[in-house]
This record gives sequence, structure tokens and C-alpha cells, in this order.
Amino acid sequence: MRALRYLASSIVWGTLTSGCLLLFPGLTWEDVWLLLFLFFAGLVEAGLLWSFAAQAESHAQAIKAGTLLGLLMPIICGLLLANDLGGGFEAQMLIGAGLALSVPNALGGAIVGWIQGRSVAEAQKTDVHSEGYVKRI
Amino acid sequence: METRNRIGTDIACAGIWIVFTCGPGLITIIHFTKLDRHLVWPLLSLAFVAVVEAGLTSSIVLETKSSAQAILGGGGLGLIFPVVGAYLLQKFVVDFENWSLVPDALVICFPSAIGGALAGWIQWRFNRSWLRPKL
Repeated sequence: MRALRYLASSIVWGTLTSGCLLLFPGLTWEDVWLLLFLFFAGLVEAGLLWSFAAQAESHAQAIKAGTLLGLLMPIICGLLLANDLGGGFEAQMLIGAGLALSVPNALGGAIVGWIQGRSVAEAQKTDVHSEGYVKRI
Repeated sequence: METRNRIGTDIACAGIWIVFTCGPGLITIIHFTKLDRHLVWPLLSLAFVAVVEAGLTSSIVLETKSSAQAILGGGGLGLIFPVVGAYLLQKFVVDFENWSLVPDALVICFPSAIGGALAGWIQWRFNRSWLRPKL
């Protein structure tokens, strides 16, 4: 069940981030790699958020963590990648792309934070019930 | 206190992973080329990747039931993550043809796997000692 939640949350995150690129006209078949890369990034971010959500004490905290992670990851990656590529004009475009992608990514992060926070809350509820059952025995 | 311990473990894992991932690269650079100001960015990127991997291992280890599973999870992640990431990155950054990322990633993935296995073991040990008082 938890694996299914993770799968669902990573699909949501990847779709929201790469889906906003599909709105732009003039996409070619070569851009499929960019979409795949963004999907992979969504998968990684959802995995990272899993441990944050497990430590969060409330639903709101998990949502905040997801939003912050979604906002910061593309900006940091764009900055590092632009400097890795030499910092030329074309490379500097990556910083702009990172900034532009951070908005839908943060939205995806908030939704995924909500999904994963719900999953963790359900697991904790089950733990509390089983503890009570053991005490009664 | 628990949160502080957990953050400490996460930082330790990320540090170990950074040493294993960036160390070989730094040694190669010192041996074959001169240290340059611009080399700080690739090393920073590798450190960032190591931090992300340590965070991912933390999530994986939460779901494991034995130390072997945790070590395998961390090692597997350290082996696969740099190669997949570099392959996808290389494919979409087609304009920079001279940028040979995949061979570099294939070299880095082995020390990264060792770092991942160590990080997985540390995380699992911490989780075991953290969960025991609750049971």
C-alpha cells in the first residue's frame, strides 16, 4: 500500500513538472529526453519527501516540506548545471528554466506532501490501534 | 533530542557519501590536472548529488527489515543513480557534445556504491536504536 502511495505521488510530481512543458508549442521528439529527465527528478523528489513526511508531526508540515523541496530543487539544479557547463549564455538559460520550473514543481510538491502526509498519518493511526490492542491483551 | 540525532545521522551519511563520491574525483584532478577555481562547481554538483542520495537512502531504509536489505538498498542506489541521472542529462543537453557525462558517471558509481552501502548500514543501525525504545 505504501509502495502504491509512493508510486502515485511520484507520478503526480513527474506529471505536473513535465506536463507544464507540454503546454508550450513547438516540442519535438528530441524533447522526450527532457521530459524523461523531469519525470526522473519527480521520482527522486518524491523519494526524498518520503523521509521528510515520515518525520513530520502534522499534515501541514508535510505539505510545507513538499512545497519547499519542490521550490528549491529546480533552482539549485539549474544553478549547478549552468555553472558546470561553463556559465555561457546558453548555460545561463538553465538558471531561468530552473526558476520557471520551480513554480509547477512546488505545486506538485504540495500535492505529494498531502498524499504522503495522509499515508504516514494512517500508518501512525494503525500503530496506535495495535498498541492499544496489545495493552488490552 | 530524537530529531537532533536523526539530523546528525543524516548529515553523517551525507558526509560519508560525499567523501566517497567526491574523493576519487578530487584525487584524479590533483594527480592529472591543476586545481582550478572552476572545478569547484563539478565538485559541488557531486556533493549535492550525494546529499540527495543520502536523503533517498533514508527513505529506503525506513522500509527495510534487515541490515542486509539496507546495505543493498544504499549500495544499489549509489550504483544506479549516477548512471541513470548522467544518461538522461547527457541525452537532453545535446548541444554540449564534448561533455562526456556517462563514462564519468560509470567511474564514479563504484565509490558511490560503497558510500551508499555504508550510509545504508549507518541509517539502519540508527533506525534500530531509535525504534527499540518505542517497542
